[in-house]
Amino acid sequence: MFLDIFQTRLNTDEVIDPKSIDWEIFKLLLLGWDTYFKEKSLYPNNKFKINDLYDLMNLSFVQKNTINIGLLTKKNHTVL
Amino acid sequence: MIICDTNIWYRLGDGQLSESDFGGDELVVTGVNVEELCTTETMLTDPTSFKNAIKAINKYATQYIDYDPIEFVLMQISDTFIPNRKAYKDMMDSLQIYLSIDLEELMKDEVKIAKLKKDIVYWNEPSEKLVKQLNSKIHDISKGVKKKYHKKQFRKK
Repeated sequence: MFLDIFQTRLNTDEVIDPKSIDWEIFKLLLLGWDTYFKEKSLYPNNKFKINDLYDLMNLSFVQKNTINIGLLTKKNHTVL
Repeated sequence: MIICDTNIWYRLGDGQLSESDFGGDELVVTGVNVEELCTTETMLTDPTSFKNAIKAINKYATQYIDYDPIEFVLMQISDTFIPNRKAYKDMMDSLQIYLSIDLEELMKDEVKIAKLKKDIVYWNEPSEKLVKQLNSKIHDISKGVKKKYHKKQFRKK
């Protein structure tokens, strides 16, 4: 599914070869998104706000040699 | 290298955080930070904090990742994909212009403020739409948790 989304967004005839992808990078991204979703869904009546969306999007910039401290400012002090 | 959330720039701007809190690591500002600042009502409700956040970016950021976040990901998987960086360069330029404007003086002009508020709502429309979609998924997940573990398993805030 992840690959399908990217393939669609690329909007070209270029076919993405899954073997050419460094999935380690995406593991970090998916872990971040997954954690965020779980945190949100565990609280009753919790809702995403626009600021949450920015936090989620900002996780896209995380690379192997970087850390994202956006979530440090949240109650749970989650750090990737 | 630290990818900063927008709150970090606000906290650096108001002095709650300082450069020493980051152990000498480079602080990076992203297209998401800049977009968030360009479309926030804080520029009207608290212009001092807004300007101090921009000043913090100018002072502490060693790098600007001027990409759309999804396009940034696409670059990792495609050699031929060409991202559109102009919008993010323009938004950073806009922030620098806001810095030079007397926002408190501007707030006295009701017509301009009404226009800016309307623009902010318009700029946020795509994000609000996405937030609605995310919330509909959260509702489904929460319902699943409730069904499987009963209501008591929900954490209390």
